Amino acid sequence: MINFKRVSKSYGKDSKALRDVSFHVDDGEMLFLTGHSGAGKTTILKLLMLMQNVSYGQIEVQGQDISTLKSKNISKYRRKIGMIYQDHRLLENKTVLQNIALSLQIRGFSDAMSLKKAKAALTQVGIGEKAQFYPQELSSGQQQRVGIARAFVSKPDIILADEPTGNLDPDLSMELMQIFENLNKMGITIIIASHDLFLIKRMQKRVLVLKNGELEDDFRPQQNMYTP
Amino acid sequence: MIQENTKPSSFHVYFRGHRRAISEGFLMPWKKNPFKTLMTVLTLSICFYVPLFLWTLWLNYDELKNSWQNQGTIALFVDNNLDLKETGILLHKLKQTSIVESATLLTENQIAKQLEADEQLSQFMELISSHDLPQQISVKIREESHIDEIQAFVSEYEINPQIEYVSYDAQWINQLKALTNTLLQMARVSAILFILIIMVILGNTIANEVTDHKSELRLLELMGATWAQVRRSFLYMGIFLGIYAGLLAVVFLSVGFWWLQDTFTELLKNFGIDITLHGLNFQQIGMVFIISVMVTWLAARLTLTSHALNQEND
Repeated sequence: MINFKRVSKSYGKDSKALRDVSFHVDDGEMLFLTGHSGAGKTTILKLLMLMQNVSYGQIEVQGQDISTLKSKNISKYRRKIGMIYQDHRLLENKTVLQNIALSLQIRGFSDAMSLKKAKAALTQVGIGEKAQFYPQELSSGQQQRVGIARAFVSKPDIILADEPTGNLDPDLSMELMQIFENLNKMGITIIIASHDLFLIKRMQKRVLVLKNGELEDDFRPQQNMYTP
Repeated sequence: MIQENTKPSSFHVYFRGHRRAISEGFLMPWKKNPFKTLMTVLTLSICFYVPLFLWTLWLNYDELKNSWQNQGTIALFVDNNLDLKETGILLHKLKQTSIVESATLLTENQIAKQLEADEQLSQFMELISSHDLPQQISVKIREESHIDEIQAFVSEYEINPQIEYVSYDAQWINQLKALTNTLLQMARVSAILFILIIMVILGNTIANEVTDHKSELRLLELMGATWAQVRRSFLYMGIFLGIYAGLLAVVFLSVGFWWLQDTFTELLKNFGIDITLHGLNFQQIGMVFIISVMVTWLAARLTLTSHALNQEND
């Protein structure tokens, strides 16, 4: 359960990235954050990852106010979350398999177990044969699959994805969405920040619409779908 | 979904984390720019070498100082009014003294010969017409005698009415002490100075590595790595650089001493001293390694603390 209570985030006096944003996400839910550039989508994800602190308001994750977490507990909290970035953020000096295994190694799994699980995750995203490749040898879509595999290999409770289909064509984007949907069916809460309205419409999921840092709309699948 | 195995225990997290960090810390500096790393290690080793050399020299000098102190003889100039029997009793008493190894009565002729043998004093001897020299008892002090015992002995005979004058080169001993203390102080000051230089060099090396890996480190943090996990491999890198530098410094020291050995021995032989210049023993080498590792670890830790990643700047 994620609960945003009147959250604001400002950078200096004049720049407000979020204004009084409140919403609630249930466990196992999948939703999209959308809005124009600078609307505050990425800021919400960064606040959830504790990459930034709220200026005002409160964020609760699984009943805990994350702004009160002490530094030693921040890493424990982050282990509950898998993050996917638009630019993939894969380590170029490590193979695809090593990149995915890293997430498990941090959690103390043995090298052999980490690689075994990483291989299984890679197969699950459909590029098991690319295990020994280096990221720069893969296409952008394949790199994003690696990013997704790295995010879910450690079985997080929540997956946050920041523009995961930003550089991909519509077909490839839909394939990735299918992966997200499968992960969601396994009970993982998924929040995707995207400005790909066509994709969002096709997915028929809950959509939070942000505009100039404010939450403008909250469309749910059972309601009339979000039509931009 | 992948079937999850049991969660690793805290011990496994700690042990495996350290094992990986050791491996990464060992390889990290050599992977990207081995030549640069080699230069860094050489610079660090020279910085370790200078205070190490002075310290080892001081260890040798300490032995040399003892040797010089113990080699000193004390000349007791006997009162001219003392007859042969009284002189004999005095000589016997001196020989019974615990710190005295030998006491020899020198005749007037023997003293004259000694003075004439001295380049400067021989000219003086030519100027004086008569050789009205007092009898002298030459006292050789036991090697194990402490400087305080020698001083007490000298003081006792300075006030003895049978003795006109006690010749003991206390000034030389004091100069020797001052020289030794100066050398020791120099070693201490240079050690502090060079340790600071090491910390700056190593700090800069680690800082560069942190900067090079900044995005990677940030990613690890976001994946749930603790700051301790993130910095661990850099701390091990510092430790490895310390080991390399300490090892090279010991090698440089051995080569340097081997080089100086003959010259030094020859020099001391001219002073009648037979001492071999010696390097460090295993215990001392172990201490050098511990110190070098501690210094580089501390430098790495201080640098990493100051470079703690700012979560607001991502």
